[in-house]
Amino acid sequence: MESPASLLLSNDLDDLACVERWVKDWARQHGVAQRTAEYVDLCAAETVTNIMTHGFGESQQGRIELRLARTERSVVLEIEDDGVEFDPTRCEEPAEPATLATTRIGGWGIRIVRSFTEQVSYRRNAGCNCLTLVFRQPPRDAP
Amino acid sequence: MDLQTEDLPDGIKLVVLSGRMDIAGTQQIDLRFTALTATSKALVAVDLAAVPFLASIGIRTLVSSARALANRGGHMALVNPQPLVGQTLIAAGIDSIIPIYPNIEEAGRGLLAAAATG
Repeated sequence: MESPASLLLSNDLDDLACVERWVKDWARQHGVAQRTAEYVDLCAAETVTNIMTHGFGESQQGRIELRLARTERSVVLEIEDDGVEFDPTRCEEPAEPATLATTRIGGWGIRIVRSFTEQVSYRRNAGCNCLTLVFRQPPRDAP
Repeated sequence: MDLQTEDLPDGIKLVVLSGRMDIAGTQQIDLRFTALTATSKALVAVDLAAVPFLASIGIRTLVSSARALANRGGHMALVNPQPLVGQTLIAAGIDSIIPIYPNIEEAGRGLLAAAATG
């Protein structure tokens, strides 16, 4: 695998705007299929939004680092943060919505990330959450 | 994001969304979109053809408004999502609670049929 490119964010939601451009520029430079880049962009946005929203206390300054690399057959996105410990791979799959009246509002981010990735893994490292998302390149149709 | 509305025949309101439906985009249209659900028994077709990206925050707005509409005897349909947005809706299971149609004509027929059956 080549050396990863990285993007450092704070836990300010305004920083999210950087993610789309960073992913798309990187994908273009590395010959990644547009559809794969869209999946990476979507899953990065879902994951980083969740970290920014739930990972830190109200006045806590947080650090979120994204790293992208590609192999011959995949794109690997690592997201590391120094927020509260959270392993999304241990979350139960939210139930399929049954009716509009009874469906739970929320929980869609986990379903989306699992649908658009080939593999999701988590490790706790030196007080940080480190989530690794692997995308097939070129992509299969998702979900 | 931008939001335009148009009144179609048979009392159907067409809502045309355009732009990236992420946190920033959803915040720009959320209040106006939610206000559309305040009408009793409204039939609302939401055109997603010009929405290239839908995050879960945008799904929240769609589902919350669809539920509010249903509580007032109305119905919502989603129309012509781009491939990524369609995949996102299916991944989240939204297609099982808000119908998705490939064009406005079919959405209109679906909304009228839903209204006829209550």
